[in-house]
Amino acid sequence: MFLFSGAFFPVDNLPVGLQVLAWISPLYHGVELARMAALGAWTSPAWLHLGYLAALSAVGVWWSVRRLTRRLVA
Amino acid sequence: MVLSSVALRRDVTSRSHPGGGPSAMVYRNIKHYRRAWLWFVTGFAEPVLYLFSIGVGVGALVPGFVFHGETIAYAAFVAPAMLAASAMNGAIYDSTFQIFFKLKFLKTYDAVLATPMTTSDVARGEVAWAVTRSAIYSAFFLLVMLVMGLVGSWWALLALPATVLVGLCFSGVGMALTTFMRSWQDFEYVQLAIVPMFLFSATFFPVTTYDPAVRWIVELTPLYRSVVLVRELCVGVVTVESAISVVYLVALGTAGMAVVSRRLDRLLLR
Repeated sequence: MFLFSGAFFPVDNLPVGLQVLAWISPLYHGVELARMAALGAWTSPAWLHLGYLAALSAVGVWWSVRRLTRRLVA
Repeated sequence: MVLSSVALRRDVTSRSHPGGGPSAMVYRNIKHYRRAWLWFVTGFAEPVLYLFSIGVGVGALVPGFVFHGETIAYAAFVAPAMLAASAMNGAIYDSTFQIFFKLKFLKTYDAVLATPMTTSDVARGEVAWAVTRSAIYSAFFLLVMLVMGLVGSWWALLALPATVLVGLCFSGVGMALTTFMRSWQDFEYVQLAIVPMFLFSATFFPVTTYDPAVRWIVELTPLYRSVVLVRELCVGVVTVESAISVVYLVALGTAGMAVVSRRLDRLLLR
């Protein structure tokens, strides 16, 4: 994730298959947001990245609460 | 009675692995890894991923790259360095973490020394195994380079024996340092040494980038010496720097092994 999420070189340079994987990776969206904010050049829709990260966080929280409840309570 | 049981044990040892001595240690490790092959593969993957990411990915952003007066692809500059790093990784895992675990927790060597094996057999055997693992990593990495067209000369045939020297150096020194470690926390020092070496030993950019004040420090590190040797062989421009590297790697590796033998005597026989 660290090496192929657009941190070192643009994701566009990757083969299409890996581009899809990069899109799935949350780090890619973080890198995009941080870079666009730092450069002040909003080249791709920020709400999309934010939305993806928020959705992933929500799923993560829901899933961990569920799993922990199963292991510790139920 | 005692004599005959010793003779019997010798016989058993020699039958299961004809070489006896150090080769028995290697044999033990081969059997161990038959069941733990996944660890073997993950250690190899790291430099390969770096080659693809930095070498190929970032390489696409670097137009022409001049090395010793020759224009080469940036990936061809990074690849030999990753080959050296691959050899380093292969040697480090089994000469540091594994040794500590066997020494302190598994008590493998206490068991080994109850047989006719000596501490010197253990030291030589473990280094031989670490070098073997390192050579296997290197061979596969060379294959990856060949397939990607990143090998520039027939000199590269010598890169494999060169990586054996890299393995010898890192396993000797790594194991020597491991004999001084007290707890797992001490292994943070290994990471603290390996990661900066990996990033700054002229792996991703030439050493001439550095200020002379810093440069000599970089040039003293074992990975830098390894990278110089392997890179000159892979690109096919061999200079006196390679000869210096060979002497350096052999000297450090041998010194490491001597320390290991002495330390094992103190730790295990006392």
